[in-house]
Amino acid sequence: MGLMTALLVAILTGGGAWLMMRKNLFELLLGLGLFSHGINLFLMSMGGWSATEEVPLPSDHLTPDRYADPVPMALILTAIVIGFGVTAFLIVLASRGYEETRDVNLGEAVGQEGEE
Amino acid sequence: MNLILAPVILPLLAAMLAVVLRSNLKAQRVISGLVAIALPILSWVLFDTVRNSGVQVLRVGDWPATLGIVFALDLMGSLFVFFGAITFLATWLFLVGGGAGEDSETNLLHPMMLVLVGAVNWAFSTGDLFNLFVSFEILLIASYVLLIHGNGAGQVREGFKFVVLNFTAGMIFLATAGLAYGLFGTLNMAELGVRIHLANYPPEAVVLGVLFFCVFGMKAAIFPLFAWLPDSYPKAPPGVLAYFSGILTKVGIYSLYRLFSLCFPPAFFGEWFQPTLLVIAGLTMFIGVMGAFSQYSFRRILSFHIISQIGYMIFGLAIYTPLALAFGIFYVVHNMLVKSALLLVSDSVIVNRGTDDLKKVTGLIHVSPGLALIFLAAALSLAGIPPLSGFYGKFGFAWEGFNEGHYLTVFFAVLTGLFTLASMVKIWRYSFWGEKQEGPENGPLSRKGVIFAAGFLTSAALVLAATGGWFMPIMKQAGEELLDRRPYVQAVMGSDAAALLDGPGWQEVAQKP
Repeated sequence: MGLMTALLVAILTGGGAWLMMRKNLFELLLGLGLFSHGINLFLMSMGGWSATEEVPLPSDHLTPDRYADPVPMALILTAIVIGFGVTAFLIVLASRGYEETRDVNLGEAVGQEGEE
Repeated sequence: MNLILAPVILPLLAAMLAVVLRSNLKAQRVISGLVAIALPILSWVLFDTVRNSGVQVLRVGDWPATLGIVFALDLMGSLFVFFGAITFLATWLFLVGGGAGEDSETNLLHPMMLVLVGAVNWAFSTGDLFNLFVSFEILLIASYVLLIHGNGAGQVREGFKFVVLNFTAGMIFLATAGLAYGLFGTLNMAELGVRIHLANYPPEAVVLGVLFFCVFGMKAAIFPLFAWLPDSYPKAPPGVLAYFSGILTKVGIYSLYRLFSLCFPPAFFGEWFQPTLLVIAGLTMFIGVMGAFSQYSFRRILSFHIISQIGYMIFGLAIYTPLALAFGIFYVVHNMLVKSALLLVSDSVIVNRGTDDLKKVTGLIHVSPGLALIFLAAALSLAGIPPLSGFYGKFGFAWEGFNEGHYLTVFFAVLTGLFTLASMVKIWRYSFWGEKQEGPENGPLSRKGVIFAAGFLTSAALVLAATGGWFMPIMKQAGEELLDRRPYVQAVMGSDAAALLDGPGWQEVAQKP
């Protein structure tokens, strides 16, 4: 489980970082999404893995030592909300930029601007 | 009565109200203005409380500090909140006084400024890493909106870069906070400090520290990570830019000062850390000022100067003595006032003349002598000319740097000071002196708001210089508390936890070979 998660985190963040290096706005956005998924998965693994852990809801058979750690889950929840908001904002920003320049290429757009 | 949350909640509530009243600009101005006036008073009361009775702590829901959410305000934090509030008041005067031009006040401007202010105060007063992350994100979301506010063509593109870079940094911050939780089982900064101390500063702590340094260094625009700043800041709308450059990077500096005293004292990293910090400080100063020196645009010069000033603040952290940290705090506070004042003047130039190219705007002293005087006072203060506030900080860094034997970085600091002066003289020589430009489009710059706002900030900086003798002992105490760590830990977690930090105190550690 640990190895699987580590590999998944590596693939997600690595792929995300690679996509973020690209000039295409669409690929950049996808890259950001992948990257934040990787980070969220990483946070999940910080709570520790074990097969006996259960969701921390009150019930008769569940003792505190079998709770899954709720803190990383709370962190991920907040992070997902923030990531969602920023991604939505970025999509609007990207489409706005596309309307102005008719170009999905961030590098080109900056090239025109980079006179200073 | 616990006021800690007031500087956070008040602007955020006001922002909500201002969003609801979005069709009524006058009401928005009034709401924003009430907050702008209330905040300095409120934060002064808070500062006074902290000064008299020590670190103020709020445990939300009265949970024990290690379980619940904690807000804690120490001397450094309360000083930053106060001077941040002063800067906001000036920004408000500028915006409402029409300094930013006729149509600049859209119905998003005031709410977003309020959100930004609330988030900044949140960052200054939170006691745990996750709240720090959330406040950074809220701050950034507000600043994204403000940065592209006005919708210039270049704004959207540069805004995009700014958002992507900062979002990535935010994600790395989140991962690092998660790592801190995974390794040491806590997100509370005071508890993290104690646990790292008890674990005797293992290699994992070093990894954690370096990651945090990169994240906050990116926010503060230190040497290898500053590339986003000089491109995106000059695109920000007038007025907003002044607040940005006065405050935003300082939130990064605040976090560095907080974490690298409380959780990761440099001495524990081993011998390589302090020289690395010194080199980064020197390079940040020097490259920043060199960038400024080569520019011919008013706002770009000042944006590069932000970077070089950040270098001084890192230098204060790198020397790591109470006095150096005290001067660091003084320098941050001085910078909030002076930098914002300078940028308000530059904003007013670009609003009135449509350009801030030094070669195209000349002879301003003939049309607006008052503003020229304000600019001169602020510029000389930034360069560190003796009776003004910038001198204290620079003198302090040089003094402590010599005492600790960091001659090379002191050399760079002095050199940077000279180049700062030179580039300020350059702005003065091109834009303020020189031929008076004729024609109706080259009339006086001053709308009421500009003179008022920039004058207010500059006189605040002068007052700071004049009352330096009163502020300095307080800042020295703030520096001592930062290094001692126990007052903060005791306030947050109780004296039992603080006692765990006995053993090698910072004095012995600082002298460790």
